[in-house]
Amino acid sequence: MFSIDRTDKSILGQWWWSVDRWLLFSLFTLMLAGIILVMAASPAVAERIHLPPFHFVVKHLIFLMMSVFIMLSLSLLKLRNIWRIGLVLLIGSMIMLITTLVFGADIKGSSRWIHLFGFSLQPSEFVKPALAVVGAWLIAKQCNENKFNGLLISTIIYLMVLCLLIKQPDFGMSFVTFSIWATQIFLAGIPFALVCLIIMIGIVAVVIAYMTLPHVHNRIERFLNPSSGDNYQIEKSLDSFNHGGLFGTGPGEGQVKMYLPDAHADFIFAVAGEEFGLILTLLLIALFGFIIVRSMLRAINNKDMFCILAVAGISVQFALQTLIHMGSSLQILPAKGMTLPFISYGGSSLLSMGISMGIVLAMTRKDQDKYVFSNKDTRSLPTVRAVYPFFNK
Amino acid sequence: MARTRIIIILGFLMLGFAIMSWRLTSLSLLLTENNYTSHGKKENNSSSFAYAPRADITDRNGIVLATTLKMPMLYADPTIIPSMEVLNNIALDISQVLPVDKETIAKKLHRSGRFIPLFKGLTPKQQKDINELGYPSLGFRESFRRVYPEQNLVSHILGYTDSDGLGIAGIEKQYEETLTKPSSIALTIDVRLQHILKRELKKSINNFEAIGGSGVIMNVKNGEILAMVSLPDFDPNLPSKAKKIELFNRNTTGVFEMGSTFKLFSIAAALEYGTVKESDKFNVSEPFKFGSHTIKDFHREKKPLKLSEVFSHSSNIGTAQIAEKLGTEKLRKFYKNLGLLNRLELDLPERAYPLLPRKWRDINTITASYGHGMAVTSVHLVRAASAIVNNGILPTPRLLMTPKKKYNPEIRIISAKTSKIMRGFLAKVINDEKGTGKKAFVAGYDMGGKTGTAEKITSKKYDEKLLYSSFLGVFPISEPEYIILVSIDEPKGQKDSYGFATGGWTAAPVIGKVVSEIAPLLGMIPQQQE
Repeated sequence: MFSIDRTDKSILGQWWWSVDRWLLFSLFTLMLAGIILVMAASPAVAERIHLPPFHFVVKHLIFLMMSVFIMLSLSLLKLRNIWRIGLVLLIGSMIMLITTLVFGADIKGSSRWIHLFGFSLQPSEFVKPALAVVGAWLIAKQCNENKFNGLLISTIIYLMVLCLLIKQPDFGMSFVTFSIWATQIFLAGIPFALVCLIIMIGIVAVVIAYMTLPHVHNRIERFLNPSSGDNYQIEKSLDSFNHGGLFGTGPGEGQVKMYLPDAHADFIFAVAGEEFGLILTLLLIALFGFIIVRSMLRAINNKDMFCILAVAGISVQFALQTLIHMGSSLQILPAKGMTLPFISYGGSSLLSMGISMGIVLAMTRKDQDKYVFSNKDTRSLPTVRAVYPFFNK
Repeated sequence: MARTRIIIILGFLMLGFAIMSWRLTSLSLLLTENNYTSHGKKENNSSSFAYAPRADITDRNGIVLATTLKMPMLYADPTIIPSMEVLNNIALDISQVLPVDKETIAKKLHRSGRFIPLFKGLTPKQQKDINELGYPSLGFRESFRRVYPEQNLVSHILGYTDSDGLGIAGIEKQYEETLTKPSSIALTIDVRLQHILKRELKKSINNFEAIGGSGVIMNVKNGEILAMVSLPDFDPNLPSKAKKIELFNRNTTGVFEMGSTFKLFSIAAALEYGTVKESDKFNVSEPFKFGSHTIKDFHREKKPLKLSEVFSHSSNIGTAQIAEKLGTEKLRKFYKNLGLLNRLELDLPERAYPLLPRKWRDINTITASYGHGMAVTSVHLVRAASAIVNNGILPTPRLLMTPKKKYNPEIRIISAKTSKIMRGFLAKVINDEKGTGKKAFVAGYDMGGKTGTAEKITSKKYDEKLLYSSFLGVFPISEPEYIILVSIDEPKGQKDSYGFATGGWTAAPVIGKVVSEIAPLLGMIPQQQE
């Protein structure tokens, strides 16, 4: 199909032979599945709110093309430029986050959206890959230069973003962001005792959120005690898996999308379960699993700490979003509005995923000239002990 | 170090994926019991289930009186009607299939929007016909409609629902919550009895050119109402077409001066309090004077009457004498115990308060003793009379087979002995040669009864020509089980009734006919006559 010579030294030729084609193809397969599912789920939603039936499909395709373009462009970049873009994106999205707090449109109890050039953007989507890149760079830099306190700076940045997200309030995004940071400092080699402490802080944070934020309280209360409140969406979602059975009702033949307001976004997994059945849905889960394992394993083989941390952070973000989305539909986790990467309808989510995966593709390329931190053996982190003398005793 | 730790993270994530896969598999293949699915118990209690139809109402034998049918609603999407010509064709075609006129439909099709409801509650045949028209701009939405298969028969008891399916009268309103939960309701009504009562009542109303009438059949022991008819009635399927007078439930909302049937209560009170004895005689040859009031009898008797004759000849003079002796305090207390002075107790929202004198003077006691000067509902009367014949125990009328509330078990009003004497009096009314209720006689069944003929008030005066004629029957009178009251409103005297329109002529024959037909249905074997 492609005829690119091994000896081709053009940018594209080099890219083709160095990029992780397995990852690339699995991502395209995922996008294809997304198109099919959005085509199945969204006309019912569109019709219910009196829009043309293919309104969401068309918008999804437009955003998907933009997303693919961004992904491929980023995957062509050198690491140094990725870091620069990450920094710009972080600053931009943090400004937007602050703006949403001031001017944001209030949708379903949270102000998460910002209207820009006729589009509604959700800055919290863009802050995640940017954070993963900037955080990774700061921590990796410390591994290289002892005097540079990257760990502390990155922690401060994470905390700032976390505050902004909780203020919105967006508990799901806050959790994902917290997880990216936890992954990165964990991989940077902090002692296990500290890991345990952080996990405990995380649990305390959840409990505090449960007790102080009514919005979170309701969701968890309903999860723990289903008969206490309105669980309409969850009931319908669970029914859909039953209804689908082994082989599904067939594309477009499902009913759950008639009842769920967010069938094309937050509950698209339920549509998949109903219309495509157990076997294909398990395959979809396997595809997600493959993408995560593949990028993490590629990160292991990388010598550059910046790449390891960034790829691991983004992979964890990708994996958690997938798990939270599925868990909400399957009633394993409290209902949380979270999009399924590359499958759900949602412009911000698609673009953000394009950015994330573009970064992963770039960082897992075999030919990347190792960035600033490649001269040291990155498998150990001697500096951590110096940074935290308390744990050195 | 980072490598090992990546593997640890990866391990946790894959564990997450494994859990999701397992959960998905067990849900899809029904390996776990899902709390929410239609197989689970939860659904019964869940009001959030989108299309739980309103529950059925049945009669005591399970005959469906009200049910909810899936009847689609026709709507149009005018944005995809290509031209005015097509629009007019659609309107014309719909008007030929459905009972709506062309202009109404055309007007609706001119509206803007993508969902214009055109017609609610299509039958399968109508839906098929609309489908065959083949207009892409027409669609159906699933909807439900309340249907009353017995139409007018039980209308006042059932009540009806509005177009959104919300109960706004009768049982539909009273038990809105139960019906929407949904759990079905069985009424104490027996449609067979209801039908017979209605048919005979209607005949009498027609014969005597009356403006309306009502009838109640009740079990004297437990208060179960087996039939309750009010005419004119309406079709609860089409409540908007009903006239105000048709929606009026004469049995529970209508209060009337009941007339002589009230002698049952005043005489029973006098016997119970020991004011009179069964053997006492009463001189009724002269009109009874009380202050400026004069009370006369319909048929004047020269000779003194026994107590039983005062009752069976329905002497107002005799009863007034008894009431005077009894006194205001005792009579009022007795009426109050019988529930005649309080709002009607029944499982319906339509329940009237009795109409009582603004200030109860002694003259009110005299007139109330023969059922004038105070007005109650039919069900008030039937309930109170039940206590008199049922060995003195007052039942509470009810319409539900399994009551939602607890009823007072035993309210004793009079002794069993007094009750027995009164039953003897009631039997005489029908069986005696000179009894006013001879026409209620049914061969093979021992019955008792009492006529009531009240003059209606027009512009503050009693009008001799406007009567409210009723008959109260009890059977079997030896050991009463059922009580039946039939009232005819404003009957006009006819040739074959020799110009009479009293309870004995208008209502008593209805009772005779009804009892002869319903007694076998109630499992009563006629006694052999000699």
